[in-house]
Amino acid sequence: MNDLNQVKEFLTNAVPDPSDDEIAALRRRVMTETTGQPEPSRRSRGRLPRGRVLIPVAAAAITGTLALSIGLVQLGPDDTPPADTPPAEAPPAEPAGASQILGDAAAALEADAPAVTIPRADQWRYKKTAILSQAVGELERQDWMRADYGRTAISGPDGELITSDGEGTSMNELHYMTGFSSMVDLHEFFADLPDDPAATLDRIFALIDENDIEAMGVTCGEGNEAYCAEVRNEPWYRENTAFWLTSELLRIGVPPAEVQAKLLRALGEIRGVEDVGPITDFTGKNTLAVAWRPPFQNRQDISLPGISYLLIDPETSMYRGTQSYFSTDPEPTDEPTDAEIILDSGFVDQPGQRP
Amino acid sequence: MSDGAAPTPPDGEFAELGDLFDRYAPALLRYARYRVGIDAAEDLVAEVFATAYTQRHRYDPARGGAGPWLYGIASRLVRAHRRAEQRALRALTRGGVDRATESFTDEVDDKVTAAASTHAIAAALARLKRRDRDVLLLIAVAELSYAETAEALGISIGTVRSRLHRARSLMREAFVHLDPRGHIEGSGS
Repeated sequence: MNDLNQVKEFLTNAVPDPSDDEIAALRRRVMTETTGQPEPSRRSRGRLPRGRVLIPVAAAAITGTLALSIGLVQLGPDDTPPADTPPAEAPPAEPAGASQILGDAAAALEADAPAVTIPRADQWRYKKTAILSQAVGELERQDWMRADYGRTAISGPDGELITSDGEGTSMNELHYMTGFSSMVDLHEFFADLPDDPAATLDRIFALIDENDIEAMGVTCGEGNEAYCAEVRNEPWYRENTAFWLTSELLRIGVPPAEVQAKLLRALGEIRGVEDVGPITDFTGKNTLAVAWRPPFQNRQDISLPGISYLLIDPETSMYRGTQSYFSTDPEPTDEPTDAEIILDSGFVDQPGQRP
Repeated sequence: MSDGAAPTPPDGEFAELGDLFDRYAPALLRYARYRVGIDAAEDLVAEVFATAYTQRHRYDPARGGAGPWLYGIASRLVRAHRRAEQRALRALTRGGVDRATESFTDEVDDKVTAAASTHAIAAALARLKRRDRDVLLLIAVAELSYAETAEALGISIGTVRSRLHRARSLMREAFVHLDPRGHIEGSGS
């Protein structure tokens, strides 16, 4: 018996296998906690009433390997970098639109910004969202997350409160990817953000470096590691991660207006962030939208399967959510495939409460 | 994956959540029990599927199937469950040691032998760096290939090899100190 088998045998003997009942119970829990329903809908995606989604011309103009914001970088079919792989092209002139829209939204938020407060560890962040997903279609969801990430709760299909323990972690969120171990830490980070947008962006980049955060995965064939490392080190790759991480901080933390203003201004500092709005989100509401696009087109060695829009409510100037268009087909989709729209949020003292 | 029990979802599609669960959850739950103990394993697996669900747009079938992707999420989440992992490793390390206080019969001798082996293997596992343990357990327990492990962890195959080599070297040291009956060398048995 080799050492790998010994390790497996040791663990197999030391830890009992889960029973069918335990697996069935876990299945019910996963379905309920993840989708808010005992079973995901298997019907074709039904939609909430909404208007037609307007796709900006700029998105359609990106041809070939669609250049999109969150996705995967893949080498060619034989995993061999093309010999004449062009370097990342010089960045296009920064579109004035994104900075303008983000700056205007930030100014509106700052004009009526309440003081930043850091939640107590025993408080719960409430969030009501409209979700569009390829797996379960459309649904509304209400969830609570304790600020210490120790417990979560979700409103079940009959309005009942379903709570679960976590080992210092959370359900349905990727906090571990943002580098914060609690909502308290996250909001302390928020409260400490500088006024200078460039300095705020530096903090974002520092988070990326300290926590080894990558918005994308890079697929490498054997022997191509050095090439993949080069791709990871190209500035656009890090800028995409900064856009994604800032979006996640807004999505997860739903920070107060003053912090949102700082983050929106920082977004405007990221090269490749463009104004793509207004659009109609999948719930039918008109919103402003920005997205990140790579500073190149038609790089044969890179394939990005979709684009995510960061949405801004034109009435409140607050972050509204994300809406994504992902496709495994060569042609980009003009229908949103995934979205999370924040309908309400805030901190409360108990799960089940609403702000 | 070598056990053949976890087929890749249909081409280009992210399998529906229920289907994905049915294919992968039993093996993932076993893996999670090994990593963070029985108590925390269900939370971890639930979180794996919740993460997969919210991040499914990042799933690319071309990168090796849903299995490695899910194990990759699980391995990253183990970091967030580090206290549970440490507890699980301590529990494994302690396993059976108390039996040494029982009366010394052949039966108990066997138990002590097993306990000594258990202690040595568990202690060696606990001494591994987490990233080396990730690779070792994905290959030894989850039975991912090198390529699948690389995809799961977002590292190169070369890195998989080097981490596995390091982990196996340390594990072999533990095994070397066991005689053919499993006694720890120098234990006086």
